[in-house]
Amino acid sequence: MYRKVLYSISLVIIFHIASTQSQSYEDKRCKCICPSFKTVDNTTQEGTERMLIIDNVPPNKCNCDGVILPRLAGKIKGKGQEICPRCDCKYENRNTTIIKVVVIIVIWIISLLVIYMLFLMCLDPLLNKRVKANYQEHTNEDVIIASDSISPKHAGTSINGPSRHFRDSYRNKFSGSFVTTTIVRSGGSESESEVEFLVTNNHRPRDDRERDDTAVTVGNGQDMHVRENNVLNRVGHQQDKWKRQVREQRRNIYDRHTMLN
Amino acid sequence: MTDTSDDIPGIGQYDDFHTIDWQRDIARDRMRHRYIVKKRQDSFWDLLKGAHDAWSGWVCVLLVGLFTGCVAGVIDIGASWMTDLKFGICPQAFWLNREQCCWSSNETSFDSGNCSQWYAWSEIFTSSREGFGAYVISYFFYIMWAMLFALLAASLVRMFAPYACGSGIPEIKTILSGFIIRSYLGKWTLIIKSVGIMLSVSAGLSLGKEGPMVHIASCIGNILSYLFPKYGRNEAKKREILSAAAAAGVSVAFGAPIGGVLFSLEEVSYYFPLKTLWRSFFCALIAAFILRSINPFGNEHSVLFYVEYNKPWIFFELVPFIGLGIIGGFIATFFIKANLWWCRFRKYSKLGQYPVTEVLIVTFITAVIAYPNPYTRMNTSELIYLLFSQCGISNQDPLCDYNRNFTDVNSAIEIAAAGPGVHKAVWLLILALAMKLVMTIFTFGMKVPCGLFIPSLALGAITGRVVGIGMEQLAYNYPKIWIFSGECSTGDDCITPGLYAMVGAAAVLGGVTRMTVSLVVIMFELTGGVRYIVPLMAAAMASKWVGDALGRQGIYDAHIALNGYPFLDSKDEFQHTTLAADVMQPKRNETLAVITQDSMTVDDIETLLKETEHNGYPVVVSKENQYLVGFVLRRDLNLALANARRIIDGITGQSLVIFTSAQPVQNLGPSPLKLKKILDMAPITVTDQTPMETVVDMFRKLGLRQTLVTHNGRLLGVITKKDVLRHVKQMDNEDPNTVLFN
Repeated sequence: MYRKVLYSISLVIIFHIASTQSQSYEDKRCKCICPSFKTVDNTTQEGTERMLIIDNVPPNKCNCDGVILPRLAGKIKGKGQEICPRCDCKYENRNTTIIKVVVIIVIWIISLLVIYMLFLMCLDPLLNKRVKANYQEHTNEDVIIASDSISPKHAGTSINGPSRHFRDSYRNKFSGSFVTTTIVRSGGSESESEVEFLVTNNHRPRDDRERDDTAVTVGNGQDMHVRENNVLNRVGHQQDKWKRQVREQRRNIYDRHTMLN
Repeated sequence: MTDTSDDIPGIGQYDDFHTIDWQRDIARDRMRHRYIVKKRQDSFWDLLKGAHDAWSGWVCVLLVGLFTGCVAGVIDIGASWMTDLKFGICPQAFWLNREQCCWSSNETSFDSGNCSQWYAWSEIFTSSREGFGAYVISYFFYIMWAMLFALLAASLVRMFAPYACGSGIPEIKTILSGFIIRSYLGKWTLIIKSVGIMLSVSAGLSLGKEGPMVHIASCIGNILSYLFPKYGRNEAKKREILSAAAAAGVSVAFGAPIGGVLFSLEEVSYYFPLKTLWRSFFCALIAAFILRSINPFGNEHSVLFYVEYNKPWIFFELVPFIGLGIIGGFIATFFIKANLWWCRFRKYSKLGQYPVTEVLIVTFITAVIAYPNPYTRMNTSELIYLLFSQCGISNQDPLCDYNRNFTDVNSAIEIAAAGPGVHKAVWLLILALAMKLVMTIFTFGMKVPCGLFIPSLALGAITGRVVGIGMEQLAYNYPKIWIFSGECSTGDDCITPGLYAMVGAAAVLGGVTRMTVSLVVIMFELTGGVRYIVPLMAAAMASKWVGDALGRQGIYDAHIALNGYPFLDSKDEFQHTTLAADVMQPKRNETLAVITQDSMTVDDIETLLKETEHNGYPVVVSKENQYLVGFVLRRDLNLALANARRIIDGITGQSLVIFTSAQPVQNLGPSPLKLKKILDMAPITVTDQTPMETVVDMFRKLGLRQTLVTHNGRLLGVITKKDVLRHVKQMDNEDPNTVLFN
């Protein structure tokens, strides 16, 4: 049923395209504007609106004799010399090749971005789930790049009431430093709290109240020694780093509303 | 500090969301420059390197101008094509918009832009252009295309570059004042912002592309500065290139190079020495030149809103012009307050968690309301052009429906009574004004790239045109009043409503952004109307005075305050009588965290770094005699300690850390760690009795990040930029906790 509608729509469009007369898309034109005929001849049947006459003539012929008189020969009936001074002719240029190239480039770029976006949204999680399962045993105890896998529910990041006050005062205590690239994992515990705090470099949390609440999960960015040997893995590593950066930006803007409100 | 401090990797770079130290970077650059100049005589290669260093600034801004011009050309062509996609398509050459499709058709009539080569969507599906069915189908397609574009824009921004949303000018102001936001000027942000602004403008939303063009140009400047290590590695020098790039951005957005330079000077940049002025001038020139040469639309589009009025203005008209300035100030203040209220609401409520949905809803409402009114259906730039232009022979709009006969194209236009079309058009315009004002309040600040200039110009142009038509009819109906006698009694049109529109547009834009000189220059570069500088200046001044009386901040400063960026405004004066001792850290019951110059071990320092969160520590002679030696940054300490543990043998937790160049006395125990290289031995100090006016002035003029407070020669405390900002806010009775970043 949908296919039938699609076919009929495309047929209609093709029919219209095929049935048009010869179209003109040149790059030069001579544009003349004239008042209506009623100003020179009260007896004509023409309308009272102004006329716009466009023709493709060389620049030296872009005047009354070259453009207007030939076009309106039948209707003037001898009043040509009266209508000429009331008309205004201009010669204009344009470049359609540039327009064509740029529009096609823009369409390409947008399609590529949309395809990449669909790929990242749909296929990437499926691929990564399989890859993640293979790397569970290579956990690096020392320094891991923090990556979050908080699902986009953002349950705890609603910024109202006491949690915001706590977050703001906590951030003030930390002087608002937002360095997040390296944290020290303490005792292999994964944090489950929803409120996100950022910690400074090498900060080892002292007690539970200040515990490092950034969710730390075993992401793809760890275990660099095995992966660096492979060029494809390096590309994947770069992509992961970029994804992390984007996730961080998204967190700052959409969740915590600290920037770009 | 010598140049060899660079052998520890990462020294001298800054962390994300931190303030840079201008003094340190400028000193590093001067040292580098002296080194190159000294080596110039050594060999030919060094001579070349010296020459390369000298001209690298000019080459860099040349490349920035080139790329900015190209990107702006692509955005212009893409946006103008996509905008008309909402209305129809040109089947033979789908890449042409409506005006270009009908450009060379040789039909003789004067239909309002339509021709047989251009197919409206209703024509494709119902083979007719008139009628109720055609209207409904056109309406439906308009809404559908608008939602599609908006959905694409919002999801691309969310997926790839969340920093690409918004206008960008508040953040660029903060960056140029010395703040680091990593990836804000990166390549993904550049791509997504360019694509996104095309899509947002084509979606029919009430926004413009000028602010995003400044952001795009700054991204290009940032990316290209990395080709030249003189600028890429030095944050203070890089900001010279960014200022020039911002000028190029405005230059290509409006076709106004001089206006762009002045905009960069007045609005965006923090420090603007003469060298930056030359560079910005050159960059704006190159960008405008490239854009002009790419421009495929013919000569008539070279100046954006080109106007040419037959008659100059009468002296008495200054009164309505100043009146327009006052009205513009009121409209602008209302807009700023309402927009800030809405942005604050969005920040703190659940609405902020559904950004894409919000964009879609706003687009839907805008499209539904905008289509019926022909003045909101058309592109905002076209509307402004229509309002600015004079009613001549080639103007078919009902706005020009006067009872006059055009007998000759080349003669002056006579004054005439307004026909019914004009009355209808005025009502529609007033509706359009209300609708645009409300929609822009909700649109600016959404999570798509959005700009403010064109909507403000549109609001002001509508106001001005309505006032102008009123004045014109007054002159027609009462030509004997003394104010009109003289020029208006000849029968020719002496009042030009288009000029009123121009002045109104300048008034509202000036009230919203609080620009003065750059606004007037941009307006007369936009319109080519150099004879109208005096009315423009009068309206801009009136608008600024009204705006400053009602609300102190322009829209960009208000957004900076809303986001809590650490921006120390150089325009406000600090008028309170507090002293440095009142502001400094530590407060009464805390102790100052210091490092001694030769009696702390590596373990001590690491414990200190863990237990406190300061960004830097003063180094003193000893804990008993707290005489100042220098200042060391936390980041540098971390990197140096990590580097030392990795590379140098024999460094353990018990190694002494030495900040002086004297040889340590003891030889037992592990070898000491010499960290004199990372110590800044010339920190700026003030005494505790220094008035805060002087301290704030020093922070502004020198670009300090922190200053040390001494008393009788001994170290007493530290004042950081954040403390200054919080103090200023406290003195102005605002909440000091809104200063968020470091």
